[in-house]
Amino acid sequence: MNFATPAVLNIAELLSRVDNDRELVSELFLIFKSVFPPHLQRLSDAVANEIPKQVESESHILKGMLLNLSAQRTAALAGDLENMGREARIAGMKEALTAFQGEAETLLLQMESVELQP
Amino acid sequence: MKILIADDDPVSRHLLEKTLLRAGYDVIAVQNGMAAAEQLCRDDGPRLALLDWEMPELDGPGVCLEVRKKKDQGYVYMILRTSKGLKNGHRYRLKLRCGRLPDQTI
Repeated sequence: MNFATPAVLNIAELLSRVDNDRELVSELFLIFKSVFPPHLQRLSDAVANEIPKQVESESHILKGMLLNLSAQRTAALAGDLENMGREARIAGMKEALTAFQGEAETLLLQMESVELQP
Repeated sequence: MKILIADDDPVSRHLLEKTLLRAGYDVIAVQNGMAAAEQLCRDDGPRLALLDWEMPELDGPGVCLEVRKKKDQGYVYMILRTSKGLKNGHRYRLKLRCGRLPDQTI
């Protein structure tokens, strides 16, 4: 990975925040990959069924995880959904979810591509 | 020194737990507010807690309220964490529940 290129995942910042503990980053990625699908499913269901409160709560949880992983771009999209949920803004929610899903897919691919073994 | 971490986000919980363990602290990590309040109200419970604001069963301010109800124990220091911006209403309600509140959030 080229650290100079703006990326969905800012691995340099993440490693810096954990004192270059690659094992810890690897553990965090594993945890995220295991809990992300059910959260995304609940978020998608909430958007499809137009339940703003659930959109807000699921997006908030995802945003927190993503910020901890230095995935600011994806976190910002989760934050957009959180705001839409809080304000019960249904219009545009499906498009926002699509944007979030696309970014999250890229993020998961980038997590796979990062070399974390010493 | 024993520190309690309460967070329903497993990424955040693991990150905090590992960081504090590496710094030499004893850590108790729980995933909801009820479990946090139970630990903090024990006579031998932690005297410092990092609490997520939003948690299932009992939120961070709710944990503060439960702990402050118990008078016959040493002071418990609780730090509330959130990625949400705090409005004045939030701050006022928190002050009512917890008694002390710094002028600024960090």
